[in-house]
Amino acid sequence: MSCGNEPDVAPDGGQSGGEALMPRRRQVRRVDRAICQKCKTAKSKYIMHSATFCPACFESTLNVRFLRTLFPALRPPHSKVKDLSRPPLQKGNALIGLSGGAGSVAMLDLLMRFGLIGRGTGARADLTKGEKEVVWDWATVVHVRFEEDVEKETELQRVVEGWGLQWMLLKAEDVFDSGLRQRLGGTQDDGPELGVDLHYHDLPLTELSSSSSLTPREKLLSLLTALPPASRPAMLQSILDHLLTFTAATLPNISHLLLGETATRQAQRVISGTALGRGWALPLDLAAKRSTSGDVVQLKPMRDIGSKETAILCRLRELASWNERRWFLGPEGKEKGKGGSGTRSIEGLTERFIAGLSVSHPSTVSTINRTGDKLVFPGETGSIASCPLCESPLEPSALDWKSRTALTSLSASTVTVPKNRKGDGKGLGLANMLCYACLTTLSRSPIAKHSPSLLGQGSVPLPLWVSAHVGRGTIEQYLIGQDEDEE
Amino acid sequence: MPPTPCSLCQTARALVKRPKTGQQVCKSCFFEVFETEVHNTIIEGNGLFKRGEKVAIGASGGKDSTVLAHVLSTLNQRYDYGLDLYLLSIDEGITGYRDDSLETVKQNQVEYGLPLKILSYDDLYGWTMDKIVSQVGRKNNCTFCGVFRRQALDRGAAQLGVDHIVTGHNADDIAETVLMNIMRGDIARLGRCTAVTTEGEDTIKRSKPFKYAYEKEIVMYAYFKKLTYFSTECIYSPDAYRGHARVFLKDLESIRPSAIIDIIHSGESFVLQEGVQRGMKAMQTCKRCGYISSNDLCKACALLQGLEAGLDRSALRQTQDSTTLAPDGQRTIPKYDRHATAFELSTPPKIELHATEGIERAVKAIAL
Repeated sequence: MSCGNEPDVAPDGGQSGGEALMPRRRQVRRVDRAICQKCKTAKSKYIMHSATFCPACFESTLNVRFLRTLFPALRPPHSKVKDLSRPPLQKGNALIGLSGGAGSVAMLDLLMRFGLIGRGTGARADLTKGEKEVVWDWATVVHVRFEEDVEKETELQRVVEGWGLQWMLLKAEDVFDSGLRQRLGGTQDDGPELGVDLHYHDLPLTELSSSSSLTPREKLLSLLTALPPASRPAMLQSILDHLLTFTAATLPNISHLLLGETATRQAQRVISGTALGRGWALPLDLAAKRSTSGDVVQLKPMRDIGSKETAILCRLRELASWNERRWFLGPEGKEKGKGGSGTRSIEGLTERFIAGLSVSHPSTVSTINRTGDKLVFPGETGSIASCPLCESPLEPSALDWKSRTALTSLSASTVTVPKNRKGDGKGLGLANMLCYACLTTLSRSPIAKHSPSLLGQGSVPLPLWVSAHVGRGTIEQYLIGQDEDEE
Repeated sequence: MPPTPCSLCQTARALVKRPKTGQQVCKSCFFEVFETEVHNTIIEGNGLFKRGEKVAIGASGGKDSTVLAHVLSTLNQRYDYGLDLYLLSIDEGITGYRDDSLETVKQNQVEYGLPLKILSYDDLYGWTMDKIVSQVGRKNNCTFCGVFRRQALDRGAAQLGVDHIVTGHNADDIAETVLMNIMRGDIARLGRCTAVTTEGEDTIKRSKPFKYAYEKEIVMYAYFKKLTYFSTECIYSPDAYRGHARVFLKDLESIRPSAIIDIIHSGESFVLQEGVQRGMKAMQTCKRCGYISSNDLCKACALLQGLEAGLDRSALRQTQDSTTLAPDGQRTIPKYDRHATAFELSTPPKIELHATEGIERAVKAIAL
């Protein structure tokens, strides 16, 4: 104000026309980060999305986010009920996938603390006394074992049974066990056991002799050992997915499969799925609600909560969790890879990458998930064939695309499928039936050493569900239709 | 230990392990599959080119554009595409980098006998990258360069009267872009970054024939063919965020070499929600320079206004909803008219020679 004309100042001190003053500096709201920004009274302890919270407000915020994700998925379509009002009792029971990670442990705790799961007695709540109706009458909790960890399994079983729920332990090798279906109460037969020779591009199938003396564990190890290290996590993921959906479809009266996949895992799935070539079916993998086999609906109520947040929640509620995901299951002592971060799996590398990037760019997880949410599945679910390995809808011409963009024979100057298998070529190839990502999973480097199979042949056993799927497809090709028969 | 035979012809000695397939192949089989893959990309669907089309190769003098110029010239003859090829270079004004690489482009011009057009930032915007960096600093200067180059290429192509620009973007670049667009939530770019050809209503068609070619294979091709290229990295720091994606991609590639092509496959399969596509801004023309833009001002005009106003990095935040006229005394970009040069080309050869620098030398090279 030392130069220029004096401005006209209104009696109230405001500006009243005339020459404009320099704009008033915008007031920046100073936030005391030492106190909780929600209740404004308690001392803050945690920072979430740049806001500080005391433990109580932190918990209540996560609770709201959990219910806001879960409840709309349980209401009938076109329901106009508000987000946080309780959905009606579901027609079946729930199957809860419990890995022991913070996401699934926190999910189980939230489900039980909110009284969403009953004791299986069929007792109804007395609404006149302010009691709240359960959403599922009962639940079974399933844990899939990849590596034996007695301490973890005992603790998880104690927690589950403490809540009055049914505990079920499955093993990864159960996918090779023909008795699994009977154990779960199913009746259908799995069909012949098939093997695949990974040394050839067309992945020829062979029928394995039923007298094979290998145990299911040995068969699993035989398959994993034959795969390139980078492909093993994808195979294990398919095994996990299958065991969960198969159990949900086979156990009687299951309507929902609940998984504790967090926002962080979801973001990792977007990136690793893209790197694995799963772009086609990725929107289905990311969906918050997805119908699986046997009319079971798969839900991911933790998909809006980050893994750090679930870890804090477990700590606040003194829940034990095991957060290290071991992707490797194969020959001992070869976990370290030549990748920049010393890992041999795309999934492991992605985990570390996102964790590292989140330090400098805290919105990484939410940005990736927002991108993933905007993707839509381009095909029609249910009406098209599915990949025998991952059981996702089969994308068109995966093999053609691969052979056109990466030629592996001189004759393939136009689009052809390389066939370098020595033999009569009578066998059926699995390659034609697979989606792009699974085709990549089962592809070996041409110069990889031919490792002897435990079966003593070139073939390695395929999980029973793959054999059943392929068997059905093959038989269907040769079945004579009724009309044809009449002719 | 006996030499490994080529896994394709089974006769010659294998010299290269193809990063893309892991096969050990001999030199001539490597050339054949590499060129055939590029040819497959070109003829896929309705094909990239039309017979008789004038095509400008974006030439920087680096490995990608040098190999592109060589392969495209070879395939044009081998498969008789009937293309009229040109070299188009942009001089960003980076002393010690672009001036040297342009010498390589001039050498390529002589080797392949293709007409060359060089357009400089200095002529077009009145700024060189050296000047820009001295004003805005090293951080984020790639944004200025990228925006200015894109427009400069279109303007150069318009001056040459070509219908189509091909660039040397390789599979690694595209996979990196897919990852980066996912990580920063750039849905609009994610939807189009894997397209082999992009074309707007008023922009010149752009294609990437090396879409499926690995960077390592391009380097190998250039090495075995003894092509002349300029291999120094830009002296100004690379884009930090892209750097994260690049390092991650290299790690992925070391775990599974097919990861690059797998990412591209995923990117091609992505379909965006209709609502997201509808929400994107409609394209219009910049009210100041006439270039295609989704705002009143194109990004280049906004950046230039910021630079002219003496802003540092904050020039990046210059609004694109500005008035039509630039503030007094500030330089502006000349009006863009895509079809203007069709007339220039039809003018007497004297003008044409003036417009395409070095063409005379190229003709002499052919005559010799």
